[in-house]
Amino acid sequence: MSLKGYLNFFLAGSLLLILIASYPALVMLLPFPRSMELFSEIWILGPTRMSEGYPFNVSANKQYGLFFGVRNDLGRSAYYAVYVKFRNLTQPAPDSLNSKPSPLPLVYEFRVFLADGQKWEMAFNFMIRNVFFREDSSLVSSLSIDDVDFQVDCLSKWSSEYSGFYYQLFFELWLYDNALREFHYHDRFVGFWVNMTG
Amino acid sequence: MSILRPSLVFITVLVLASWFSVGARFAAAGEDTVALAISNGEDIINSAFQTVLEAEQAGANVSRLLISLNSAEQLLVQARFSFRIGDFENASRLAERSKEIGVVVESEAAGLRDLAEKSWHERFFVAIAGSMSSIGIIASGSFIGWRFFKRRYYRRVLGMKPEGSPDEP
Repeated sequence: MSLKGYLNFFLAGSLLLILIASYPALVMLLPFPRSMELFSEIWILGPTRMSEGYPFNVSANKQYGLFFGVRNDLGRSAYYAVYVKFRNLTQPAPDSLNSKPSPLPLVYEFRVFLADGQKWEMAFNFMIRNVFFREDSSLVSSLSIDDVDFQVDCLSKWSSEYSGFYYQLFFELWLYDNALREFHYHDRFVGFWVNMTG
Repeated sequence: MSILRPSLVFITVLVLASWFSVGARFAAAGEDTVALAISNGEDIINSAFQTVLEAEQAGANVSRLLISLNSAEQLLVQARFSFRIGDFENASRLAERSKEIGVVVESEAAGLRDLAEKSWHERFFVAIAGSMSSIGIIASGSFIGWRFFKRRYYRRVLGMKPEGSPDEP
């Protein structure tokens, strides 16, 4: 090997050693990207804490129990708000294409702080309180969540397609924006349909 | 006598009306005060969370603070509920307790953030000093090593004898 070849070999070796020596300082200065995906999860489980047994044919003044959960995988602590809303078949659901929440008023609200990788699950119960039926329509005037009554006044027409008076109880996930200092819709929602039977 | 009775009734009605009016005004004032207390509680919790995030970003362990924030939030939920059902006294008490927790969390988070930042600066100084001195040692070692190698290389090359040289037997 010529002297120039040895010089290149020496320089490459020295540079490698310098890179290794500067690694501890570089790690503290440069933000290394995380390889994992950052996201949040929400879910509803049935009364047995499984994804089964969700109430479907419901009657007034009967209590139904469910589980609701949120998990934070955003790589930092997060402050979540969960807005519970109630709608019929024709009222607007959240718009997943445009990341817009449902414009319907919220019935109930949960808020929780979660560390990265932490999940929060809570049991909750709901009961349809006052229902009025008239010919081809039903009106749910109030429902209770965790034994607290809320006025909803939601009218549903008889659905000949699905044969029933359908309502949906759904949960929108909102995330606290530190820059704006307010909650914004986090583009996630879950819900379940119920058929009001009497 | 006939004038006295209507006058008495009129005065009684006036007194009762003024009592109700004052009572309603006090109730409205109480409602406003409690609504403001709840709103303040929300602001304090939001601000505390902001500081907790800063502490977390600086490298502090904030899991205990998040538990406290959840307790404060629970109290605010109860305060909102009490407010809704007209129990303003309880709502005010709960909102105040929530605010107290929020203030403590914010102060602890600020302390943790400062501590974590200080610790980060110390570690950074050690890392920089370690890296710089290592780089210096490597660079000078390489330079000295190269000079030594180069000298040996020349000595070896100069000591070589070409094939078929005249002093060969």
